[in-house]
Amino acid sequence: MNIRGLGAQEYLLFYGGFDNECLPGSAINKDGTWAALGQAEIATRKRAYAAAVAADILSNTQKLLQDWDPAGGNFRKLLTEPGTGGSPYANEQEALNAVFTGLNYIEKEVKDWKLAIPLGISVECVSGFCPEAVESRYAHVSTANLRQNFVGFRRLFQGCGGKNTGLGFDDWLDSVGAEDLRSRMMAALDNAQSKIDALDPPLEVSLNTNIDRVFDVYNALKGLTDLFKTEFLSVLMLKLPPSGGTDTD
Amino acid sequence: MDNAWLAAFRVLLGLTLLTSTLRFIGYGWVDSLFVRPPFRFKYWGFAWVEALPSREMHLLFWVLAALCLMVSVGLLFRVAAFGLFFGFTYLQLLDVTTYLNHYYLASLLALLLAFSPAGRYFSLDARLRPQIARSTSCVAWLYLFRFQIAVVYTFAGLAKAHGDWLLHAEPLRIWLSSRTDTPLIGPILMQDWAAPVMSWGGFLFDTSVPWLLMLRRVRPFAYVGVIVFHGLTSVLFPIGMFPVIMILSALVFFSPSWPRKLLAFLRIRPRTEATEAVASARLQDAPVPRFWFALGALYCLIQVLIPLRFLAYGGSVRWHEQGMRFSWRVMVREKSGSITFIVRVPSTGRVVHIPPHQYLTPLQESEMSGQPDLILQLAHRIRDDFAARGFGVVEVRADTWVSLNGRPIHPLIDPKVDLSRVQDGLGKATWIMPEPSEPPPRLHPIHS
Repeated sequence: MNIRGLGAQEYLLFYGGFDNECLPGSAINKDGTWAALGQAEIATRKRAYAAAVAADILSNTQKLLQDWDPAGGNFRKLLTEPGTGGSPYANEQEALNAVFTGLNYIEKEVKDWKLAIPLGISVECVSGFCPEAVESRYAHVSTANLRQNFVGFRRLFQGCGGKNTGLGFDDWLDSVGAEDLRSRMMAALDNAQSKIDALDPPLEVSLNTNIDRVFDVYNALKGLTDLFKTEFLSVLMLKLPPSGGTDTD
Repeated sequence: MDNAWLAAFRVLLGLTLLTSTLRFIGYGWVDSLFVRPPFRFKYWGFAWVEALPSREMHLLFWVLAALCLMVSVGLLFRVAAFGLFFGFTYLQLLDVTTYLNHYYLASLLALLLAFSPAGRYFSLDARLRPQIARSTSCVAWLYLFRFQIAVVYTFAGLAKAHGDWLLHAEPLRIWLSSRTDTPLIGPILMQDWAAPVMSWGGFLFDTSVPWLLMLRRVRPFAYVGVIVFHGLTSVLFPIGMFPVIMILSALVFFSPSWPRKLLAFLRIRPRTEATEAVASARLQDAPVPRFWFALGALYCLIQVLIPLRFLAYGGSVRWHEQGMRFSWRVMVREKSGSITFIVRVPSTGRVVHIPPHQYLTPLQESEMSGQPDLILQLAHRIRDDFAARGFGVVEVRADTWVSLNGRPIHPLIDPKVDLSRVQDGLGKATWIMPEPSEPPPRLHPIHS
């Protein structure tokens, strides 16, 4: 067993059952070794596994903090001063492409995975409706996660200050004369925000009682990402990740 | 006519293509472009061209590198040159999304070289088999190569003769705004006048340079212009070996004896040898046999007709892309799209959304998103996949939002058309939506 990360931790902490996710034909089920453990032992082992996963998460978090720490990797300097002192980015455009890459999760992870699969409009959902495929089906925080995903996106797009003030991609659009595009993207952002706010938490409740609202979020995010992958990308000369690298003409 | 120019062209082109091939190997593009993609976009009529397995594909590139070197040194020249032509062309036929105008030009130049007597002088073949050595060649070869290069420049220039480029300075305005940190010239690119000046400069350069290169008195200055122009584009844009190919190709407009004169100037060969070779060449020029003349004329006619075929379709070729490829439309548009395939299963009423990244690499998705025939190909693949999975006959439509030169997004393909029933062909595609009528937005670089 080598599953790690927050997904594993959610299962260990929030799933109260004593069964397992392995197939009936797997050795521990077929041979009865899992059942022979008994509930007390299973609970003890799950607590120990959760502790190990938590330690692993903590270690990775500390590595991330270290990479950003000015006394450590000082990644902020590498990002904001491209082309100098060990920065992996040769110029400003490459650094901005990297930040743009970070924004792309709103399409692949949020729209295409967290929403399209449970809604049954993805091929990943074989049956045509997969509410069990929501992101946090044990902790029931799928809607909260969606909201935080969107908060992160807005902060990168508009600025990290209070109420999304500060320097962001919206300011860049204004500075190159693309005020109209900025207005339309802000309208798309506000539209998506309102649709997310209208969801009943957790997401699986909305899926079962008010599926139209979930489709509204999906469609609103699609409207946003349609602008994001086209005009926004072209006007600011950003590159979708990873570009694969090749010549052009 | 003195064969020195052709031998020099052979040497330089061979070395340039060798560099290009080694770049592919060194940058890992053999894997990313030719091995890893699980789906490839085929050229119409060439769906039968299949990719080699990984090991054989890598071997092919090393073979091509060897052929480039053999062409350059003139060893087994004709076999090597034809091998180079077929090898390069095979690679290009594998996937439409790897099409570049300069790869197409490389194939054409390899083909012309393969038929030419370029291996008969200043070559290992001539050293090893003196009986084939010729210091002269038919003047028709010089005219043919000049014609080919003139076609590239002329049509590249004519491709810029439209409102977006000349009146609105797009897409250059968008592209230059991201290059304002370029050393030395960055501050110039920040000026509002930079994009319009460079747009007109590019148009006038492309449409005039082949004629200027033909005028003896102006030629040296025109060639300096060639070097400056292509050097600048090389600094500003990631266009690989294209500038080098054009700089060396423009040499065909010089006197056929230019290599001898250069060597004499550099005091590498005695001046008398250059003079004798030139005098000898004037005496030995022979008429072209009718068959080869006709073949050459046919080649020239094809080279003119192919770039002009866009006229048969009407509308904006930069939007509908019918007649775009093989037309020397170099760097003429900035296009980006957001594509979602909508599959409907009639038997159950189920609707499935297919994002292209489930099938394509990021580069393929980027290229496909602005090219309707490629969107159609992927729609057919999705149709076939659903059939193979037991869904039966399905309908496949495309939700396509495309921005041309920074304009607001417009639908590229009629969202009501079931693409699973549409066949690709040479006729006008009625399922492509009309181009946007508004001009591109008035953008500007960030002013510091």
